[in-house]
Amino acid sequence: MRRVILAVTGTIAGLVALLGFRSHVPSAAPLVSGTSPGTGTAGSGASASASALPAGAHTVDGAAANTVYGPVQVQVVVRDDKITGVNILEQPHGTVNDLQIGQFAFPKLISETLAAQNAHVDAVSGASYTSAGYITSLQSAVDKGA
Amino acid sequence: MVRLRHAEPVMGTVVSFDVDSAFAAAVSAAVRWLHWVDGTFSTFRADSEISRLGRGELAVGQCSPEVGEVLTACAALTAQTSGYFSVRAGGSLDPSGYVKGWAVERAAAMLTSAGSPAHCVNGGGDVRCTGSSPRGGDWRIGVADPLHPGTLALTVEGSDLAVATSGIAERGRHVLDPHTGLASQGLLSVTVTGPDLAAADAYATAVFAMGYPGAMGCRGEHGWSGAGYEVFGITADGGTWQTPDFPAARAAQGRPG
Repeated sequence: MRRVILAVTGTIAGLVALLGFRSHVPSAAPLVSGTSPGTGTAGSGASASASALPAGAHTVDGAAANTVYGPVQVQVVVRDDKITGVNILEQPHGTVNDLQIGQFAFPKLISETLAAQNAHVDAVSGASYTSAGYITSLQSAVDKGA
Repeated sequence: MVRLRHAEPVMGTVVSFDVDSAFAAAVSAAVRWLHWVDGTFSTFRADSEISRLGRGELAVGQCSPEVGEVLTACAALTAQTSGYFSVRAGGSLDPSGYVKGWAVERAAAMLTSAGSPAHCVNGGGDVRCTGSSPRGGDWRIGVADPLHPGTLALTVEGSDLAVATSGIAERGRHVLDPHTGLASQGLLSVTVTGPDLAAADAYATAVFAMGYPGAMGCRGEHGWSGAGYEVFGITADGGTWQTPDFPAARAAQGRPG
């Protein structure tokens, strides 16, 4: 479970960094509101579906991280101590910039969190990324998820 | 043991460190080294020694000793690869295909000199790991799948291992075949593993420049023995090939989801 919590924290940190708000990442890691297996999430009016969970899976909500663009909150689906899915409970909306974040960066960060975690790699070799491209690179996910 | 993770924007990319936090001072020194390399060797900076050397404003003897050291090593690599690695593939002086791996190799050596027994340094996709992983046993290095961003083509395992990859996405530039001056065709990425990241980086560039299917003969007809170095290539149609002793841990798994 600790790995899962770290992954949630890493995802939130990644999102916050993506929003150009690194200096305001809370010094204490965002707390995870614990849920027992199979209970899904309660409250918060989450639209992300916890209703179609596969057998043996449960969800864990990350705490909302406040950014200048608004609160960001993600939920991970856990099965056999592995993250099998990530839902966005809350994300900024209302501006063009936010639209880009929602449509592009969120799905990409999610898939990279999953890919890096599932493979259990220490580093990723690949064609060079630019310093701007690093944030959405697999290595970035590895660095944050350690 | 608390691990230190540090990601430093430098050389147009980001260099990531994974090392015991007891060696934070050595990481700081390695970061300073990387910035010095950037300032000296960047072809994107008009006032770098390499840019001034390329324009004929400086002679090699007027540059930092490291410039001569790099150009000598590059000349040897050009000879070893039948000219497929060249510091003038695009016409102007550009040893970038060697410098990044060389700089990261040196940065990792600085950590070793400071006493770190185990660390991993990733220079924008060119990886040098030393000792054993924090979990114990081999380091695991994923090779990015250029056809499916965010997923891995395979995983490499080893200790004291360098893994360098050249690909079409490399800083938005194509890898040129020095013999034709044209963009290399037929390959999406080439990964080279071996004991030294500087050589692995140059070999990856050279094998990529051979194109496909020429690169499959990199060991023979192109005159490169590459002793101790292994190659994994991904072709434009998604096919893969590798030298017999490439240290692949396993084939790619399906896309997660």
